[in-house]
Amino acid sequence: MNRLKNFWDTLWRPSTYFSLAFLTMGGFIAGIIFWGGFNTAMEFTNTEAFCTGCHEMRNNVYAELKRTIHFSNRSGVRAKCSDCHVPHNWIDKVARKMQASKEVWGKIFGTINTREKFQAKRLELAQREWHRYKSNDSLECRNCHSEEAMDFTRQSKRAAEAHERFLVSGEKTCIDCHKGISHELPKMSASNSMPDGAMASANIHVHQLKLYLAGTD
Amino acid sequence: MMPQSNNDLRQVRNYPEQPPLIPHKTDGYQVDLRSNKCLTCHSRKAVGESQAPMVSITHFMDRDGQFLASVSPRRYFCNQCHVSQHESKPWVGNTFVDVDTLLQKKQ
Ligand code: HEC
Ligand code: HEC
Ligand code: HEC
Ligand code: HEC
Ligand code: HEC
Repeated sequence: MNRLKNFWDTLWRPSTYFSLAFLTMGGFIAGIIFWGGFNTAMEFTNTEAFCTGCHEMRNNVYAELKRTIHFSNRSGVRAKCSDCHVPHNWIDKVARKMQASKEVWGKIFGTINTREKFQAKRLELAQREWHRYKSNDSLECRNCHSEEAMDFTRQSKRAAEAHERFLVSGEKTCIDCHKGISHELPKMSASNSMPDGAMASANIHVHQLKLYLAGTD
Repeated sequence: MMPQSNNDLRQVRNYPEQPPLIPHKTDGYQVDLRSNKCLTCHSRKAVGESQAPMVSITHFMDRDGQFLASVSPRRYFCNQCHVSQHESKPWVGNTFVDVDTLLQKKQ
């Protein structure tokens, strides 16, 4: 207890050996080292290797991304996980990381450790991203694709008409029309998915067929 | 492989019952039980925004000829009948002529 008190006193006693300049510089350098270390650690968590380090991400979203234009295209520019999911602005970045650590938590405690569980949870995860894109006007997309630099005359008719009508007018943002651009979509609405009862009734036929083939019907 | 044709020009059908060819690219378009990208433009409700032709009424019929409220399950997997094209020479020729040409020849 005494030793601790002595140490404490020493720590706060004005320095007799070191110049103020040295201490200030030292503090500055230490600051850079810690800050740098923190940011390096943060940067590491931005790499593809980190994001796909766990099975959940590798077998689901990463496997799906590999089949899309953002993984391989004629220009050879690849979008990494962090390009689309981590804000560039530092405060938003830390906030997003804290939110993401909940997803890492989900993995550790096995809430999304199979393809089925992931699919079940997917709508919720996707909605969180859509909400984010919606409220920042698809900022992450715009970091690479700028509306001003888009030459509509070089786009297909479908693309140019949609962009002229809804993007230029500010009525819609990228994510409104480009959901599922890099991963498979969950079931979102009744009008764009297989009607609920349909497969169930098909399954009944399969079930009856099985019984028939097994000779028990 | 050659890229898919994407000129947005609707093609002439060879006979009235032919499922029209798709005049735009469709790579990466998800069509599975969960989600159907085609219907985000071709469904009844979507055409106002997309200006795409609506799936015709036959797509709402079940096999007994009853009209359903939405696209029938047997018409759900669009690529069973509709395909995009590639700008390439056909490997195999064919001698198909449409009915008008045939009637003209007979005269
Ligand atoms: C790291 C940069 C980057 C980011 C971030 C990015 N993209 Fe892309 N995107 C590209 C590149 C590169 C291509 C391919 C260009 C080419 O070769 O045609 C592309 C292509 C596309 C295409 C064309 C698809 C096709 O089939 O032709 C769309 C649509 C698109 N991106 C939408 C988005 C949306 C929506 C977002 C945000 C969720 C986004 N992009 C984020 C770089 C990016
Ligand atoms: C109103 C809906 C809509 C909005 C909003 C929208 N897009 Fe598109 N976009 C389309 C359609 C439709 C196509 C053509 C079909 C396709 O590529 O699947 C397209 C095609 C593209 C293409 C490929 C161009 C081509 O010639 O094939 C890129 C790149 C793209 N969009 C990027 C973006 C970005 C980035 C944003 C936001 C700044 C955005 N889009 C906003 C509907 C939209
Ligand atoms: C071009 C942009 C882009 C890239 C690159 C990208 N994502 Fe996504 N991601 C999205 C969008 C947009 C969503 C929202 C759901 C949707 O529209 O598919 C999303 C959703 C997700 C979700 C929520 C679940 C789901 O599928 O909807 C997870 C988890 C995810 N991404 C992880 C990753 C990982 C890991 C990588 C890298 C291997 C990655 N993403 C690369 C754009 C991207
Ligand atoms: C972004 C909106 C959009 C999506 C998604 C889309 N289409 Fe289209 N489709 C159109 C438009 C618009 C046309 C009219 C011609 C054109 O502009 O390409 C069209 C034309 C067609 C035609 C030709 C109709 C005719 O009478 O000649 C067929 C067939 C077709 N689409 C099938 C599909 C299928 C199948 C899918 C899914 C794999 C699909 N479309 C996805 C917008 C879309
Ligand atoms: C079993 C085959 C089959 C399937 C599956 C199918 N279609 Fe068709 N489709 C046809 C035939 C045949 C026609 C032309 C005759 C008709 O209208 O019935 C047609 C016509 C169309 C037309 C032109 C309508 C018009 O009035 O000009 C569009 C657009 C279209 N289909 C889109 C789709 C879309 C989108 C899907 C998936 C949701 C789909 N089709 C699934 C067979 C099919």
